[in-house]
Amino acid sequence: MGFIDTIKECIGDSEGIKEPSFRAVVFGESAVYLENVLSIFRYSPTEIKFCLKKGSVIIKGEGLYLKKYCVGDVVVCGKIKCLEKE
Amino acid sequence: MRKNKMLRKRVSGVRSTFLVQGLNLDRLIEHVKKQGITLYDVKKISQKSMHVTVNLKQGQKFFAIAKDLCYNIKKVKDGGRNYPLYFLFKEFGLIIGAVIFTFIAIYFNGFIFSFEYSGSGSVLKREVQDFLEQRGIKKYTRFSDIDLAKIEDEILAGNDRLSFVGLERKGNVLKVELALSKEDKDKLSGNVCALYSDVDGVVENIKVYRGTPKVSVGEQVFSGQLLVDGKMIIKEQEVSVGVICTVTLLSNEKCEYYSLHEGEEEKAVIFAEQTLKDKEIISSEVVTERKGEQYCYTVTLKYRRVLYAG
Repeated sequence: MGFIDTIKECIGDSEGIKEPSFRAVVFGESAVYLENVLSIFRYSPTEIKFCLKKGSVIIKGEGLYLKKYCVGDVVVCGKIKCLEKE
Repeated sequence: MRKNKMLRKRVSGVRSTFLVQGLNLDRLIEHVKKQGITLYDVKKISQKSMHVTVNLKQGQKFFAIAKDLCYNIKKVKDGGRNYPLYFLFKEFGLIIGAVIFTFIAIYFNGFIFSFEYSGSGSVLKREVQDFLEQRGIKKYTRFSDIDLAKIEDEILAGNDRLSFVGLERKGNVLKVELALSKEDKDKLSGNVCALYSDVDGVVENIKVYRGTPKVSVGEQVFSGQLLVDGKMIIKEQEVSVGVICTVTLLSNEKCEYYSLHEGEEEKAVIFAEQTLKDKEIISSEVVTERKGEQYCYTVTLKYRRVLYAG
């Protein structure tokens, strides 16, 4: 959590930060951790689309799979090429 | 089944992997997640199939949900950090059985279950077998109770007809390898077609491995008499075979010893025994007679004569 507080301090007190819709942490090219996702919209080994409270997020890459998926949290592993927010 | 259910509820760190086949797999993932089941390693193999891993505790629930939604589902494997422990509890009876079996195998591994004779000296199998039994080596004797090297030496020392004796343990079998010596002592005649007696005596023991015995134990035999014949009836036909046998005779030998002095019975016996030094003397009898100025000691020695053929 110290890391997150540091980020908040850097960004400042703006609206988007007070109540984040979702949080994504990318670990190099091999994994992505997402918080506060609502549901999975589309899943294939090259593209995964998650629905959020506001909008959606798309992860593109190769050999993608869901390492862990439970209420609100998901870990995607594989060769991550890009992360798109819609 | 009830036992397995209780075990499943208590165990953690064990996961089950399923193969799910059907259309619209994304819908299943979402539906299962909403039921509170955590999914691990969700990998799509093709458009219509994927592998899913869930906790063992939630496996049954996941299976039921997938079945209800008309997906084909099959359990692939169990795994996880605590899977070995789970397997131990689940298959407790199997583990116990394996332990008991291992214990029995190790325990009974040390016993002799059978003997195997090989080599040219295996014709003397029965003699060697008798010898081993006299020393307490028979079926169900422990290998650890036997000094194989020592027994080898004893067998070799006790039988002039053998040039080599090898004892080897192979599993539960005691392998006895025997080799006959090239020079056969006390072979009565070079004729292996029959065995004849060279002395008068009484048959003490007769062992015929091949041939037809012509005398029996306790019978009086004479020098030159046929003891074992090489002619045998096999399948109603008379055939000639090489004789393999041993015959033990008890025979008497008389010696006379003359002396000017009286009371020399012992000396007479010693001199008489020297004439039969290669024979096994069983007993001796002395009869003293005065002949003029001399004493005549007639010594009758009873000895054992062993004849071999083969």
